[in-house]
Formats: sequence, C-alpha cells, structure tokens
Amino acid sequence: MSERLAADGIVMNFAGLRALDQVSLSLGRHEIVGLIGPNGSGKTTLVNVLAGALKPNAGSVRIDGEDVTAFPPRRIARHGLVRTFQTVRLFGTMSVFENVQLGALGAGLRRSKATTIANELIELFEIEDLRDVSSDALSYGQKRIVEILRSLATGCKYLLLDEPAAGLNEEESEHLLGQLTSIPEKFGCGLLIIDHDMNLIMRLCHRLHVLNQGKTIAEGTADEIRANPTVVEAYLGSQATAGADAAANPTAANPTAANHTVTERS
Amino acid sequence: MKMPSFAVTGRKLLPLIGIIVVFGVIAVITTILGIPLLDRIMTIMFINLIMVLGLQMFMGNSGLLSFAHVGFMGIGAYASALFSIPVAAKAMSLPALYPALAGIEMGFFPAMMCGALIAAAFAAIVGYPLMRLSDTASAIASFALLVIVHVVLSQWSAITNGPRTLFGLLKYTDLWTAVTWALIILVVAFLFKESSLGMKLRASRDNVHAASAIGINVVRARWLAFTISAFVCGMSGALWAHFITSFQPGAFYMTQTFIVLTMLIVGGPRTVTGTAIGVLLVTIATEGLRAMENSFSVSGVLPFETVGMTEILLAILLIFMLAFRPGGLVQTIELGARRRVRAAAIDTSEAELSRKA
Repeated sequence: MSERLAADGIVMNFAGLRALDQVSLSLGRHEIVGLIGPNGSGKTTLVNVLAGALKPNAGSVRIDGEDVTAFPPRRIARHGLVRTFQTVRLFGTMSVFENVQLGALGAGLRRSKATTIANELIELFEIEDLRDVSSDALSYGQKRIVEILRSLATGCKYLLLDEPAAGLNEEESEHLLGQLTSIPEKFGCGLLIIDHDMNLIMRLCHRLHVLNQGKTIAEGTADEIRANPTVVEAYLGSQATAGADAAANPTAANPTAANHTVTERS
Repeated sequence: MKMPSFAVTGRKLLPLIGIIVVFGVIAVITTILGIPLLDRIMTIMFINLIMVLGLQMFMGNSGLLSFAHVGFMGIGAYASALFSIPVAAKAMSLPALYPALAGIEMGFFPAMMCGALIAAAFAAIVGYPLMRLSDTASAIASFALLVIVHVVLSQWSAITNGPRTLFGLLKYTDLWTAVTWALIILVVAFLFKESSLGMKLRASRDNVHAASAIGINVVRARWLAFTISAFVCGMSGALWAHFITSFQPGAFYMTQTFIVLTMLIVGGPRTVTGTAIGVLLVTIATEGLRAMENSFSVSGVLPFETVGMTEILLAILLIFMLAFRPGGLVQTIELGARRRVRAAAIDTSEAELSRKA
C-alpha cells in the first residue's frame, strides 16, 4: 500500500444528528489538501475522527495501509498523524523551546535528539528570539506557529491543521502561508488544512475537499472548486459576493464553529 | 547553539543551589544552637520536606490531587520497622508476627530501602487503574486509597500491632540523617521535574489533549511518577519511624495529610523551590502558633479555650492561599529563575511588526 492517510466511508452520529455521512478522503505525504465547508458541515468532526479523538460509527481510517480507526489519539500520533486544535493548545507553563522539544519527546525520541530537532525547527521558522519565552506570553499568531512546530517536531507524516489562520491578521496570515507551503517538501509531511480564509486556502492547497451537512459535495483543484455551482451555492456564494472582504477579514472566524471542539475524554 | 543551552542549564540550577544553601544553613544553625526542642522540630521538618517533595513529584507535575501519599508514608514506616526491629524486641512488640518475618533484622539503610520499595510496589499495583482517572474522580479515589491503607494498618495486627502503639524500633534518624536525605531528595525532585518524564507529565498537566495528540502516553507517565513518588514518601516514613521509634496508624492519616497538603499548596506544588518554602513556612507557622496556644492555655489570659487554635488558623491560611493565590507562593517559574517573559515577548512581536512593515 502506498504512503497515504486514507479515510473511507466515515459515518459519525451525534445523538441522532448525522455529523458525517459516508465521507472519504485521502492525503499523500507531499500534498496539501484543503478541507472547507460552511460552519457545522463536519470539518472538525472529521479531523477528530482522523486523529482518534472520536470513534466513527462506520468507516475506517488507514495510515499507510494500517487500520488505525480504533486507536487512541496517542497511538495515532505515534503512527505519524498529528493534529493542531481550533483553539490553540500549548503547554502554557513551559517555554517555546520546551513546547517544541516535547513534540519530539512525545514521539519517543531521546532528550539530546529532541533538543537538536527543537533548535533546528526554531531556527528554520526564525523564532529564535522567542525561544525561552513562556508560551503563555505569546501573541495568538505566535502560539499558532509554535503549535505547528511542536507537531512537526514529532516527525509526523500527516499534519491536520484546524483553522491555522483564524485570529491572524493579514500580515501574519501571509507569513503563515509562506511557511506552510514549504512543509510537504521540507518535512515529507502532508497537510490537511481547515480554514475559512479562502484567499489562503485557494493559494496553498493542491486539492480541495468540500463538506456540506456532513457530506462531500465536491473534490478537486482550487479552480475546479471555484467553478463548481454546488459549492458556490452551499459555501462560496456568500464569500464570492463579499469578494475581497472575506480574504481581508479572516479574523471573522465563526463563533458557531466552536461547537465541534474535541469531545472531552480522559 | 552551545552557549545558550549552557546558559539555560546554569540558570535552571541556580534556584536549586539557592534552596540547598538555605536549608543547609538552617541545619548548621540548629546544630550550633543545640536546643533539643529546636533540633526535634527541625528534624521533623526535614522529614516532612522529603514527604512533601515526594508528593510534589507526582502532584505538582501531573496536576492530579492526591490524598493517598501519607498512606505510602505509613507503609514505608511500618514496612521498614518490620525489617529493622531487633529480633529480640520483635517477640514483645509484635507477638503475633508471622514466623517467616520474625527472624529478619536489618540495618537501618536496607530496612528503609525495603520499606520504600514496598510502598512503591503497592503504589505501582493500585496506581495503574487509578491513573486513568482525572480531576475529581482521581482525587476521591486517592482519598479512598488513604482510607484503605489506614484501615489495613490499624487492623492487620500481626504485622502492625493493630491500632495500638508499635514500639521496639531503634533510633537511627537524627537531624543530619534527615538533612542529608532531604537535600538528596531536593536534587532528585528537581532533576525529575526537568527530566523527559517530568516534562511529559507537566505537558499532560498543562493540556492533556495536546499531550495525547503528540503521542505522549499520559497514563504511563502518571503511573511512573506515582510509583517513584510513593518510593520517596515511603523513605520519609521510614526516617520518621526511626526518629519517633513508637507510633500508631493514626499518625499517617488525616492530620498528617492536612499538614502535608497545606505545605505543598501554600508553597506552590508546581515548583520545587515553592514546595521547600511551603514546608519551611508552614513549620514556622505551626510551631509558632502551637507555642502561642500553649502559653494562652497555661496563662488563661483569653476567656476561652485555645486548644485546636493552631489547626484552625492553619486551615484559614490554606483557605486564604486557595482564594488569593491558588498556585502557591512560587507558581510556575522556580524562585530565582524568573525570566523577563512578558517583556521579551512584547519586544519581539514589536520587532517582528516593524520588520514586516
């Protein structure tokens, strides 16, 4: 089996509500795939299923051919699939360096190796000046970057980013775009990105996957999706009329999207 | 790259060295003064320091409240006594003791290690299922564990002499035994916190979902810490038992749990320096209040009974700490290692903005 993250026929029900209905998605190690759709369409639920935080009612998740559907999040991470959170989750009492280092330690690497990896990533993303700053003291945009670095430090093969540009201003969003673009080739790590910033998504992603009310309504390149009448009606329409507004104001990240954060589990 | 990492190490060690010096000086002054009462108070303080550091290793790093650890102290005390009481004395102090155990007599150090190992083994066995719990459930479960340990210690007459006093222990622990072990455990607790295991544990405390999402086995990390901390608490029990030399199961129950938790919470469970300062301050407060309580009740200047005033005032102190500074006196950055966190972050974000502009 080729090296792919593959979800097949995922069905997820929440107390009578079908949040995901027969969703299939695949992600290669050198790809950037965008997962878009209106609020409540099941994007975060799909990420939670892929990362093991939710167990689907039907369907399977495979990493490089191995069925990981029943694995807890920790084991899925060890198999090379790591996710970030819609609301950034850093280790607040620890420094930026320690946060990134913990990514490598979480993957089971030795302390010295983890130190090297953390230093390299911090240098590569040019945040040396934040190295010893407590992660609680960072700006929102900085926290997002640190969360991504922490994930990359695990050496993951597939990285799921849940709204990485939410809460960033245009400058920061542009900066993030540049850094994300290079991740697949530099790290051999495929990206699945949820975001409402269509400007970012359209420029960044090789392929797009569009969800609406738990169903896949379209898949294809940015141009194909933009030209797809179903997608325009269900999702892009409102933004298309708003035009540049949507791109210029990514911070208008929907409050309703919060209803799909990770189900609290211990 | 070499320079900054060395600087971090140096800066991180500074608080540890500072606290060792402070406690070393206290021990030297106590020795020079040579007052028996002070000697006794300080010896118990150093033993409590070991106990509270043991608790801190688990509770401070994992963020899980534990009431069970005084139970491990009790197991360490009774188990070490079982190995160290001279064979001749055992016939008197534990007449119903199993023959297999009646012939054992060890020196203090091996007996202490055996006691600590038994406490750790017990924690390892009961801890594995418990470490899956979080928050309220884990706190209540640990409390139930303390009750179970207490009931067993007070009912298993063959090896504990039941609720009656166990006697016949030789006095091995003196001020400097306690000081030496306390300073060793200070270093151990500090290194533990900075170790990979300690970091993973602190990560799970800060955000358990994020810790799992990067592959950390939270249950395993908690379980290892629980076992190691039970070992340290068992050691403190052995040291205490061989200082007091005769005691009852009640010594390892509510009163001691309350004192130990107050020390940890007042000082700051997330830092080793905070923990040590908490032990020092609560000892001073307790002993000061007790002296006042005694002189009040003897002189009768107050128109009411003052018995129990110490405990009430300590409880009020604890409530005030929880209300106004719940993270303890020394919260997350070790005393003496304060970074100019906020300033640095603001500087850089401004620098970044100007660079981009």
